[in-house]
Amino acid sequence: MSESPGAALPKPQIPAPRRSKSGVGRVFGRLLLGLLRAIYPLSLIVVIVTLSGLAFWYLVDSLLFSPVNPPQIADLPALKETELSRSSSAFAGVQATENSRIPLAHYHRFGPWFQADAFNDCTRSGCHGALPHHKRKESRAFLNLHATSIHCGVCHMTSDATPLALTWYDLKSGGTSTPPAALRAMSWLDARANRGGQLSSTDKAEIVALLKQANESAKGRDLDQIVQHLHAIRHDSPDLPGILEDARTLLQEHLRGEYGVKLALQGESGVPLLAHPGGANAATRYLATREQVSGDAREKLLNDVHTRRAEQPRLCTDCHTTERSLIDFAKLGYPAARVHALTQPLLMSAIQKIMQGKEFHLPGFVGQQEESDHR
Amino acid sequence: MAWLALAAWLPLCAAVVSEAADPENCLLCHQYRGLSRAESDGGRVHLFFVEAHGPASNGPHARLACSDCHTREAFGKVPHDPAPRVDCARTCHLQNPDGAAVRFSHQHAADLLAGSVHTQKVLARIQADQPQMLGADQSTCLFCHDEPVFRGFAAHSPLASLSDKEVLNRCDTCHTAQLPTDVAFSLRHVGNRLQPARPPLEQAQICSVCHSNAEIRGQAHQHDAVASYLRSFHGKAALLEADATASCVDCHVARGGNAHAMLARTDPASATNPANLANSCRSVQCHPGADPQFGSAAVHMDVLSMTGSLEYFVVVCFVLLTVATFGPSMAIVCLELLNLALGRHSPSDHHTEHLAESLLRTDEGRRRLKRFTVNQRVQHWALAILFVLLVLTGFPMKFADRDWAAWLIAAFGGLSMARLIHHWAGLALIAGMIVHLVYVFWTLLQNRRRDRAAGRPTGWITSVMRLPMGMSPADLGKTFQLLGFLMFLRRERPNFGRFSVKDKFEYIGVFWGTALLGLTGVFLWGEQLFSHLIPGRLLNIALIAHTYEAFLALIHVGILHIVNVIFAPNVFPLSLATLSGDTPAPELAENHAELVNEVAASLGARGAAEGA
Repeated sequence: MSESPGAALPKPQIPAPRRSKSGVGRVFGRLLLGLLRAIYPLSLIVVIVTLSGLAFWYLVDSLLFSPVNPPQIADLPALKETELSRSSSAFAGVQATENSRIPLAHYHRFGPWFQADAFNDCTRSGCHGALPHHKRKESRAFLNLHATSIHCGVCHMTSDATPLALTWYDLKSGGTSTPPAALRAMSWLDARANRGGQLSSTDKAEIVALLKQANESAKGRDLDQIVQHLHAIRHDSPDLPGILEDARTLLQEHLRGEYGVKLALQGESGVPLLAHPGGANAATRYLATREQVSGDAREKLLNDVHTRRAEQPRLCTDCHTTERSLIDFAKLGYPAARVHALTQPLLMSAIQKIMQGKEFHLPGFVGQQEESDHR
Repeated sequence: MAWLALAAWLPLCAAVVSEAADPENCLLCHQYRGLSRAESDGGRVHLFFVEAHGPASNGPHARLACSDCHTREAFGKVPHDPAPRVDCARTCHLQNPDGAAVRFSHQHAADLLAGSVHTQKVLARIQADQPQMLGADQSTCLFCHDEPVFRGFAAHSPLASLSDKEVLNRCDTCHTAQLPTDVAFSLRHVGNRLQPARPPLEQAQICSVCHSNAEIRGQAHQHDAVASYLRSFHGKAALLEADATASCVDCHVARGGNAHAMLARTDPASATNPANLANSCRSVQCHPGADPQFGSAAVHMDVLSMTGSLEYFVVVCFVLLTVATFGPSMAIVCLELLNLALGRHSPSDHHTEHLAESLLRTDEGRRRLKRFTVNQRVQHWALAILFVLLVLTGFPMKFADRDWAAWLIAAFGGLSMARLIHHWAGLALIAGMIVHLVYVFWTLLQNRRRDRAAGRPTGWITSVMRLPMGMSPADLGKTFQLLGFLMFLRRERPNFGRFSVKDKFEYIGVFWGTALLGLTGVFLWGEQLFSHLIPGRLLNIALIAHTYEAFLALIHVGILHIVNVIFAPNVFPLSLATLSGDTPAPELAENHAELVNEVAASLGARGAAEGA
């Protein structure tokens, strides 16, 4: 509405309050509206005071307290050793290449350490660590070495079968698995090297798929380049045999027991035996009361937990032997070359000495060269 | 085609690729990641795994055998005896691609270290006092060094092409058969020497191992040098992962010197000796155009340890200024909100509000009740936009250690771009302020001319006080009256005109802040130029003033101003005063009753006198 300036404006009419039929509703509505009208500014006061308090604290802090290093500095280079304690059931390995100085006391850089076996009940129960062996200096590190490829039960659970009834299980699902891609790739390459001849495109696709799966299972990138190379090259290229030989060499260097699958005893109906049958409840009771229980009661409780514990663990030479090995490596998919490497006499001799706590020496020709150059 | 070329190259390269020999077959066992043990108490984990084909295979030690570092005595038998401490200065053998063996030793580095501030005696004492830092078998070199790898080259670096295998393929044409050389290795090795060994932040991490360790510092009577560095200009840039900023080594090692020859500050030859500091700062790579007095600017400024100094005094002043200005403003805003919550109004508010509503229904009334002209609104929004830009680009630099800072800087395209935007937004703000000053001066002149024409000549001070945003003694009195009203000590709220005392205080704050921030910002931007005019210490003070004033501005605007113009119940969801110029009637009644009455009186509106 437009009126000419200077005209006297009518006195503002204040509308008379409307009388509602329902007095209670009107009162309640007024109360609610009043409450909202009060809450909103009060909330603003809280926000203002809070933010202002933070701001003032920052000023006071800058004036009264010495600066501390930010997390980018202060959190280095300490390795959080609580993550690696033997009682940790959420053990997850260490990503060392994110910062090469973690841990400070380890010089050699490495990628992911090794991944927890999320289905191994011995470790995930909270009872045993992922590196459980520590008693005998001669053998503890070697025994822990097997943690990446063998379930605890292979050595520590009772079984009358000879050789042991074993199966591979997938570390992602805990279910039964075929032999690992790394071993199948190795077998394929060995067979190819023996056979010779030209490769079909189907053959090439097969080996590429196997190598790719082997690489992914080991969570590594070491085979990335060779996989890409093989994928790109033509199956009838004259350079292909050389590349396959390189792949064979590389694969041997990367056969480190990290297959994405592990060996375990076969339980009933062929499923992998990843826990002591019927011991879960006893394990829970033990963990809850282990500080209080002792003596015979403790022994009984542990027996209830470990329903299939072998009195004596299997010996290294029970498997690392050419004669009546408890592990049928070939049946499990190990290529012949790998079987030979695991059971060769030199290795057996070394293992026997380690088991017996005897020292053995490395060849001496290296020492002579070093003595002449040492300053 | 590229892959075929690669296929042709790969076998050739394999002939001269440098790889570590492993004559003792250590990797037979040590290639397994599981080869490790945990101590029985669940503590330390001992890792014996060596990744032979991992990151270290792309480093200068890739060509070493295990026995080059670990002596025969350590591993000659299995199980191994406890390994003695590795001697990094021992002689090792490198096998050249042509088959020749070359003996090499880091003895030269050890000799340099012996003459530096980081002698073996010092390092050994640290090792003895802090045994958890290194293993018993580890060299003290590892306080600073870890297994070296060749850093990749940045995409924009001229060395980046060295990563291209096609380039190396050309070299292999000659260097495969006739002049056997591991071209890739050599180029990476040399190329890495052409850039710093570590980014600045990583360098600070290394140095902090000792120089931020409370016990080590206590013995050496040192302050936390890394913490103070990270609060400096260079340190904040390092936290934001800028490579082109000074690291510890850049300042503490003389140009062209070796990091192993780092000297104590008291040494006359040290790069950080006060006599040499200016030249260290004014190197070709850093501040070549600076005056020698630039060296008096402190990089490791720890204000708390400088009580009694000018810098400390400036910090205290700014803290007090912040408290003294923000505190009362915050109190007024909170009290106003409290009064609103309680439904308390000045007795005349109701009448004034209706009067304002009547006026706003007329064109002339609406025009006269617009508190901001178009010119003023444009200036406001230019200021607002520039302010936001400056805050978003500047505060990540202030709080460089926070995650959000890194995120914001990345959003702006990196630190260089953020700085560029900050500098030019600052210049634009200074230009805007100059424009505003011209505008104010023009308004002032027009007012004085009008007063003279009306037979009421006034002095300059009175003319300034009569400007719309000018503060007069009456305004100060009204401020106290307002406080009295809000604290329930007065029944009537004082009446304000076009701009209330809150508006005026904010204006003065912006005026002062822009001037100070602009001046100090220009000093900091043109540090080399201004070092010829002012001593380096003033640059430190400029930095203090700039950051604290910016903080003051942010909390005023970000908390109080935003509440007043967006969230306050009278204007929610947004005050249109600086958009359309319109102010809601309740807001006019509460904070600008004098203006409403003036307009009503001038239009002859009935009821104008009742509310006056």
